[in-house]
Amino acid sequence: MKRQYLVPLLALLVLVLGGVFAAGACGDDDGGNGDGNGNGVSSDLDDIAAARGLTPEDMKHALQQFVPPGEYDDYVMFASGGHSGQVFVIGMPSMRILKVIAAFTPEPWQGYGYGADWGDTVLAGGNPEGVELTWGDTHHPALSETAGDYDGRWLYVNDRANGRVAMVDLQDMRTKQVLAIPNIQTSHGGLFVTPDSEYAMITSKFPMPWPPGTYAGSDEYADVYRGASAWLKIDQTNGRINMDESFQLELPPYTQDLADAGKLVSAGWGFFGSFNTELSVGADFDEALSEPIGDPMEAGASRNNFDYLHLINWKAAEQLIADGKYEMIGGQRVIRIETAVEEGILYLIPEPKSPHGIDVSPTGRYLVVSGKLDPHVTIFDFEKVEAAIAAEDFEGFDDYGIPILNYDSVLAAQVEVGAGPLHTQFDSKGHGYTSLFLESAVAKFTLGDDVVTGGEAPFELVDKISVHYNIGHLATAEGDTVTPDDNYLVALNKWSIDRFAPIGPLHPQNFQLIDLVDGEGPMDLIADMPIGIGEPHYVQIMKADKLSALELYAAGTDALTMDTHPEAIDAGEEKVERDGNNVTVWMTAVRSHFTPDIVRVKEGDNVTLHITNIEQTRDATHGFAIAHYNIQASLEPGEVATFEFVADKSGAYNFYCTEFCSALHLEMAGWFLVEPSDAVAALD
Amino acid sequence: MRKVIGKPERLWIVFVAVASVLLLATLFVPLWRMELVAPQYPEGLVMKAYGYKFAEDPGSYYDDVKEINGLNHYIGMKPIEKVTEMDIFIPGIVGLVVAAVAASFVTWKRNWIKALTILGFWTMPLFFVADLQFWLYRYGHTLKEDAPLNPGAFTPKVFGSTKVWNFHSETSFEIGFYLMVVAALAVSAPPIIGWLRSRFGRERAVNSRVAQAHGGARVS
Repeated sequence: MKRQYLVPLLALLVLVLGGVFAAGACGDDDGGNGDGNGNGVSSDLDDIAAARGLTPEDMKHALQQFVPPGEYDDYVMFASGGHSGQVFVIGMPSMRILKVIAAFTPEPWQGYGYGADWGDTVLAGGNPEGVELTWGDTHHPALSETAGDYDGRWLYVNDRANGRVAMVDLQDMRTKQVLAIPNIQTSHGGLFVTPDSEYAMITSKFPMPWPPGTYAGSDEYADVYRGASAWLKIDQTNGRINMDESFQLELPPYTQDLADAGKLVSAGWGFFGSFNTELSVGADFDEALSEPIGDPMEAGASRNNFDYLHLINWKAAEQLIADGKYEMIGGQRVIRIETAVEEGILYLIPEPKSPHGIDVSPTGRYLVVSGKLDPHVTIFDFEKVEAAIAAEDFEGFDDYGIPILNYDSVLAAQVEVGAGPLHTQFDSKGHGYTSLFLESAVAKFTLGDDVVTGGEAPFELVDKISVHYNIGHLATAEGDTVTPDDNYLVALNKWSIDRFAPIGPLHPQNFQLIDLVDGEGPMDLIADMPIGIGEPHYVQIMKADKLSALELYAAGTDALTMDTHPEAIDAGEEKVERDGNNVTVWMTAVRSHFTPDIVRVKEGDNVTLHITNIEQTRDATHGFAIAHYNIQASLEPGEVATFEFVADKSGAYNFYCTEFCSALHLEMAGWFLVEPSDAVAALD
Repeated sequence: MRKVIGKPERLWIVFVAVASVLLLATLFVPLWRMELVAPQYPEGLVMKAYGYKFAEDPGSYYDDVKEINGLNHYIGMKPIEKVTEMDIFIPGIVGLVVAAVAASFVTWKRNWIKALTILGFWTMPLFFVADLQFWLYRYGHTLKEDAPLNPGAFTPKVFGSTKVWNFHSETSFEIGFYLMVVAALAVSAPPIIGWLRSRFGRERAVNSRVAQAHGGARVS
């Protein structure tokens, strides 16, 4: 190119670049944030600590727990909500409650069970015939897994009181399914999810007379009462449990207890304990003498030094079902005990004494059992278990014909950890952490040589820390996966006694955050967190970045199906249709109005409201409540909900948005006008 | 009949090529942005105007335009939607590029065509600003009387900051607008350069050589 073009072209280039720069500069905010005062922080901290009476230790712990305003936690913890029947979502390490997910109990904030189709439909699925249950006792949450690792898709939780299961979609943190499980009345064992989320498993707690629905007196306990292990098939597309593809195993009436899934070397197996091989049913009461006859269950169920750990080969059970070796009981395909024994899918191992937790180590090799009344953890080696099964190395058979593996043949070790061991969790360095209920402590011990990385001796107690008080479960971060983390442990204490300011006789539970110091140093207590909503039993702790929760729904979404709601509308498409005494209204909600905001019906009309929240803005949730009609919904951005009810009370009723949505939130209201019917008016 | 197709002048064709590319580039980038500033929108609520459409800020969680319209309803402002002028933006750009190229090759009334082309290139950014300001005025002066808030008529600025009650908007030009200006400057450059050359003697020889090469047609 000739020189004479160069100058003007360069000038042009400068202009273009200048334009780009100018545009960029216009788009940016003033980046300066000025007052960086780096001095005096340390002396400020000392002043604060002195003023508040904090020790350097306190300050360290405060920093370990601190998450700056506006920043996110590294972990999210899913805690069962105990009596609340719900699930708590808690950020960790800050230990702040992020959400309460309604599961078994109607819950107004999420509009769960107060007239909107989503929640009413889900809750109805959990009602056994003829009963409307309005609470649950959530116990053991289980996150879905892929290859033995939490995958952030779904969460399952059991209802201890009524033997039910709830499934939560972690996209929107709403419960999408509640199921009453046939043949199970109460449930403690499980819930666990198999390593690729093939099944969610729960076992019955107390057995019931079989066939279910019949009556049998306690004198027929051994012969007629049965438990069940339910393998609930998970639909991989939406996380729902498909009862038609689920199956169960009949169990002896031993009162099956906590459970865990095999993984890696023990994949394909499920394990659960039991505590009443004595078959105690408690004591009848002599009404003439006013005293019990015989042992109450407390004593009767504690007499034996050993109860039975149950081992189920669920992969093989799946095949038996495919081969038709089942009976239909309570609408479920059930493998009878006799078949399970014949086919070699059910075994027992003696476990001491009044056992509680059974926890499988990350490699799947060690099965750690805690006997509440035995100061040891008893550790079985799954490789030895397999060998014993192959060699039929049995020490006998129980009364139901189930083979009992030779205890000495399958034992890896016992470690004396302290009084009242309940549950065990693991880190990645070959340690187990066991909760000691009676001792109010957490014990740390080593597993076998194959997994201990720190040069410690195998099967030895290495550390112990006091907790406050009466610890139940405990959980390490990513604790039930094949790759647990080594940083945090949460102790789930049943009693708090003096840890918080007195707030009446019912004390909060106490979650305690413990630093595991990379699994290397002595455990260190960081923080207490009171839980004043119910008694959580178990938690699972997942890396927060595994969640991919929705910020809002796609426009017109049905929260139940996550598809477009058939009655979704957009602004301008609102309408009212009347057909005899059926009135259908398609309504929209957007800041700060409902359209229409007057709804006129006649007393006795069947009213159907389809309400679309047409917002597509984060957090622009609207509520919808009608006074005196017990209707309350949470209409989250993009969501559509349907309400069907009878306008059975005449009058002028206010409806309003129950989420403070905007400056004119109070104005976001309207009238539900129920004219007295002609017949009623004529009578007046 | 006189020959209408001729060899282009090198100076003109080079700048026209650059200007055409810049102008065509405006089809792919926004010309203008409006941000509604409010703490509830930490990522900013940003609407961008292309020559032919209004668009969301793809980085935000919102349907920005819908959201801005939702907020504007509080003061009774009409929803922002595509205006007729947007339909002629693409044909306009294509027409200008064709005209610029034609002006390079057509010898008939070449200078007039060039002059019109240059005018056309300047019309793009100037009309855009004027039209946008007109619409902003219209939007600010056709507020529904029965809206929840009645701030009275106002004129949002095409460039800068506008505050009406709680509503604070910031507007500025985007890269596309500057591209249009630079394209206009580029297409205006050859006559200016030609004038500079004729004014300062050193270039005359070159000019006459160029003129010879083009069969005597005068360089403007």
